[in-house]
Amino acid sequence: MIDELLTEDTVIDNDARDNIKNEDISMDSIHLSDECTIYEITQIHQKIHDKWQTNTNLNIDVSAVTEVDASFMQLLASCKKMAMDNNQFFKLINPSEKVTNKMKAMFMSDYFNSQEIAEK
Amino acid sequence: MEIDENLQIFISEGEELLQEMEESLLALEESGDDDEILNKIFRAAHTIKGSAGLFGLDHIIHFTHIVENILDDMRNCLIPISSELITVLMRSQDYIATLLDGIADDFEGNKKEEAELIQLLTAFKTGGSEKNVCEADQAESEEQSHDDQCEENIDDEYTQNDHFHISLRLGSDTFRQGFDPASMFRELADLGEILHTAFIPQALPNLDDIDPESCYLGWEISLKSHVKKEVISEIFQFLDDCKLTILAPQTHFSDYKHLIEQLPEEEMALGQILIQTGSLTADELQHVLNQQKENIDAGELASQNLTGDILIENKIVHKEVVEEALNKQSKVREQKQKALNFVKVDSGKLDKLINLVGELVINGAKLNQITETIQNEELEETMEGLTMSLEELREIALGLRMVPIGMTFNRFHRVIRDISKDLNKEIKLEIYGADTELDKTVIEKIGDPLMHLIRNSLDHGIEMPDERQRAGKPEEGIITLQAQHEAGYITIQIIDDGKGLDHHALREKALEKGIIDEHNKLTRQECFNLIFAAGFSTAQEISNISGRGVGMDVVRRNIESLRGNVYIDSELGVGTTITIQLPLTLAIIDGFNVSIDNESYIFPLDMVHECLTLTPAQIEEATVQNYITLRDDVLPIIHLKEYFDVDNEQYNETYMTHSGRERHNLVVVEFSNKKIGLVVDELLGEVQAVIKPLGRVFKGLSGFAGFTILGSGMVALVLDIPSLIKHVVGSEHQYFDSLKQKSIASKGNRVVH
Repeated sequence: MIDELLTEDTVIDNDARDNIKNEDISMDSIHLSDECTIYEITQIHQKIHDKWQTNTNLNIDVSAVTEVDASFMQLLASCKKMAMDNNQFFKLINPSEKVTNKMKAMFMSDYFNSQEIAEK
Repeated sequence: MEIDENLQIFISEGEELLQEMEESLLALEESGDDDEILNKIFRAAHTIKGSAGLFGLDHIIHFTHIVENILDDMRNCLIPISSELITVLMRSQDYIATLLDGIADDFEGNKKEEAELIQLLTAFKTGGSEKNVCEADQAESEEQSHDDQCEENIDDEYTQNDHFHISLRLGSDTFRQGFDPASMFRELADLGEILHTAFIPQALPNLDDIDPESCYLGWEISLKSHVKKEVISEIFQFLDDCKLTILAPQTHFSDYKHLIEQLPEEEMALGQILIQTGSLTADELQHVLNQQKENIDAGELASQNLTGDILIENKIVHKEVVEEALNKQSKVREQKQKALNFVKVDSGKLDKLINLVGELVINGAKLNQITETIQNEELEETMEGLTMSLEELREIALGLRMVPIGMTFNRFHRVIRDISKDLNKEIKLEIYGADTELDKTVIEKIGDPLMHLIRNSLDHGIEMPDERQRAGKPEEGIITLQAQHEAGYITIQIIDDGKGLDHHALREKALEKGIIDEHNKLTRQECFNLIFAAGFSTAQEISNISGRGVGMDVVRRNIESLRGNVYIDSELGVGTTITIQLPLTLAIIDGFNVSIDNESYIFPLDMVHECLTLTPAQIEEATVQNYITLRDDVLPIIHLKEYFDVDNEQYNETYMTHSGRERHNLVVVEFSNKKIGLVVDELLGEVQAVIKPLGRVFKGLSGFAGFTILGSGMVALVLDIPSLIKHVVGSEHQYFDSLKQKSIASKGNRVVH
């Protein structure tokens, strides 16, 4: 699910705390944690979409994601497509094992090439 | 666990697959080695495993995977086929059935039993060092491969690819239905080697337009595998609205040609031929048919829009395979095409339908009666049309519930195999009339009584091989199960060629058990029927198969509760025949309405042979003896008024006063090649009778099969003709036996004097 403490608004209101928790979280970054499945996908989509409205580029930190399903992988693929179509920049930050495993299992590793995946 | 519609389909299909698996395992044991049967068994296990994966049933996946591995090794000739292995596989199949049964209760199986089975299965695997079990086969296949090589050279164009090409576009509801493509890909990977994959994002909207719960995913996958196309297709079978195209490896081309040649000489559509031979899936065909329809709608000529051309154009099936199928089709063109469509319906819905039709029939009869009193021509015509439609509706509705008895019969192959092994006997099952249809309700209830009777025949009927040899019989005993229709009834016979029954011994045993006393004079038939008495058993030793004396009385009661009858006939040293007669349907029958003392009684119309009015001479004859002479034949008769002890004085006075004289009508009924005449007062005509069971007060009343409600609202009893015939035949036996006894006694007296 979305880590509510690290949404855009919270980042603005709690800069100090943000810096302590995750130094890499910036205005064009979003941090996702815990379960990212079809039960949360509408909410996640909304958050990413809102974030992208105000930024040209987007980094999604998926290091703390513990559970993913195909709907989440599709959403990530859609982000990449959007970035490609609009000449924007999209990156997955430090994907957790669950994310990389699902990516492999869904034969999507080739689609997200190294440019889209960044290890911290 | 909550059972949703998809899971219910999985369980029901799983049960069917297990049934197929059992039949194939028995066939495999019989044939010794048959690749096609082995593939069928493997496919069944594989489909169950794959489908279980879609529902996250890990315990089923785990166990079935082990079974599947063994089957795969068997296919690859790494493990030889043996009777012991078949036994373990059958036990494994039973265990999977238990797992399927347990889904609703979240029961994940008996781990001890599972561990034992896994140990037994893996023992075959590790013990199976017979790498050379099919050396001969290899030699043969080398020879074959030479031929294939020659054929392949001709088809140079098709020798380059040795893998399947799978094109998958998921339906929009895939996520909402809980399906995960990753688990399907895992299944796919189990089938062989995935050579290449490509994720297809073309249909994927960008972030602004995407509905994140809908699915837009697609893939192109190359798979190197030796499985058939349908095995791959089965992995995706639960996905609604997905577009799946599977291109088979070209190296299989000659196999497809061979399969097409082997098809039976029946006319089939091109698509059917290709599906049956595995070169096309049902989804692909549907896709092509849709395209064909679109083309025709767009104004394209049908002659330029042939299925075969579309298949070739879209590279779904190879040109040569299509041509081969078309050749096959043209060979059998003269036969009419039969397209069979089946819909799975909950049997509860059918029962509701039958009940509703029953109510319609009763109300229709009432309406008919009212119409007759009103005497309006237009109303009468409409009523006539309605009655005809009702009859048709009734026939169709009852037909929906009719299923072949063969499925029940086939269960016994396994029973006979297992028990005969336990008893060290050699027994073969022969089945006749498996396609005979019977009401599903009856079939469901007849399984257990049949099982009991067969177990008895196995245990007590068929002798040990040495005993049979001494008696001049073949070592292998035969149990025959046969079914046939007869006048609204189905007759099921269980025939064994065993030692037969000794009716004297049966009588002695009954005396000893206190079931009868010495004064009871029993006919031969009645002695055999003692077997159905509670607490009767002739087995010297109690076995776990049968012999406790409980059950045969339950068997009879169960059969009688279905309005059926059971008889035994036997000859010592030759064998025993148990005959079960059951009504074809329990619900609605065509009846013939008669009256006795102003009360209505219904005869099942199927059994009415003829109706006649007795002549004064016949009345005279009937009064002094219980038979008449009808067209030079002796016909036993029953005066139903006397038989049922009907005595309506008020009616008798009125009837005699108005009619002036008493009339006797005779209804001749026939069943099991036996005819009797039943004397009644009036013949009232045909009715449709919805049979309802008699209440508990009337339990044990013989001669009635139930009751029905007539159009007038009156209740009429439905006669049980087989039991009335049985009564007459029994009386005849008793009569002739008593004559025999008298003759013996008089001879004895003469000797003494």
